[in-house]
Amino acid sequence: MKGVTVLSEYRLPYLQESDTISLGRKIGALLFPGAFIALYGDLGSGKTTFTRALAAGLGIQDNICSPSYNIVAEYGEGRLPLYHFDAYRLEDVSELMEIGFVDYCYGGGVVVMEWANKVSKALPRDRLDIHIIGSGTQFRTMLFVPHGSSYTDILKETVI
Amino acid sequence: MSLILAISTSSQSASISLIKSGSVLAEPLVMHNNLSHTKTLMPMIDELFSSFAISCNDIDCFAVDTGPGSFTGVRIGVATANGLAMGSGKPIIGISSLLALRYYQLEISPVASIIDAHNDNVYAAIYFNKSATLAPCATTIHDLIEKIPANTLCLGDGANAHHALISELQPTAKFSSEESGIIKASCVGLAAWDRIEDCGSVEAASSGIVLPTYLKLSQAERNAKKEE
Repeated sequence: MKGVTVLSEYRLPYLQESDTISLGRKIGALLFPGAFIALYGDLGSGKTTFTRALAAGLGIQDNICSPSYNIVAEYGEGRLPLYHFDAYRLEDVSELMEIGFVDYCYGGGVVVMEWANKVSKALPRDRLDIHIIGSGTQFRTMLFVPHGSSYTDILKETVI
Repeated sequence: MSLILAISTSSQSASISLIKSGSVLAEPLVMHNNLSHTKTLMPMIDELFSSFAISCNDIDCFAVDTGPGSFTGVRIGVATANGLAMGSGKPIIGISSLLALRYYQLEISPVASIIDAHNDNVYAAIYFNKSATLAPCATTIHDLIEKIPANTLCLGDGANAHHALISELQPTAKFSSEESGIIKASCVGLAAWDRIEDCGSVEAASSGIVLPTYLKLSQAERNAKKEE
């Protein structure tokens, strides 16, 4: 169809840490109540760094660490509540449900989940998948896959 | 046997109620996001006890809203109530949120208790007098509307959320002019009182511990099961 762009995924290569942080802040500033960001990437790829940037975009100055043992950490002082999940230690979707995952998704805040691949069956249909490829001092490639027009709109204003 | 302390935290509100011989003596209620019930529930109970100069020892029976509703909210209320009951050696009665909703307007029948479960899913039950003509279940709003008889009073945050759809497909359905999106502890307590009367004694009506009401699987769990 002429003039209509359907965005299925968007890839940004050769990113330094400052680039990913800048992107995180911009995206964070556009997040809305009920937004869900699923983060994928190996250990050391920068998922938590990116989460920290998203939080900064929401006005959260708190030190963000990966909640590997608590599974979820809540930050209430930003423009919207931030619910930061780390699914690394979860073996089963039921473990996620047991901590009230559904309530967080409908809690009027933003959910950011690291290691989302561990609980892929529980992820909401509408969400933004962000893959971070690379580690250590390498450049990063970020792959954005929006599920839902709200997220396509965010990408149009930040990444594209 | 006369004094019941009822607790409800399955909905957007946290409420407790003191019921004496089937009459409501007090019902403190706080409206807020259901992720904060942990901070407000015990102080509310403390303050209520102070204002009546009573303690857990004066309570004859505890009653708690076992849901369905907010996953975390239900468990906060149930854990607190079980703890208080066990700690003081008193009996406890669990009342589903759907039955508590029904008690909002006991004089009207039929009543459909409808609680929102997101993505067009609802928890629901239909009551005629105090009996359930549709037992508590998890279903879609469309499937539920087909089962709603004429002139049914629809209560609950699910009824509010789907008001337009219900009115369109079941035009004789009625709605409450008062806010019924929350579950009130007084309704939980009165339902517990009735159960004691119906069973003949508090021993027959109660159990040592109460569990949350599970109605089918959540959407994600259902999807997970489908893919397995």
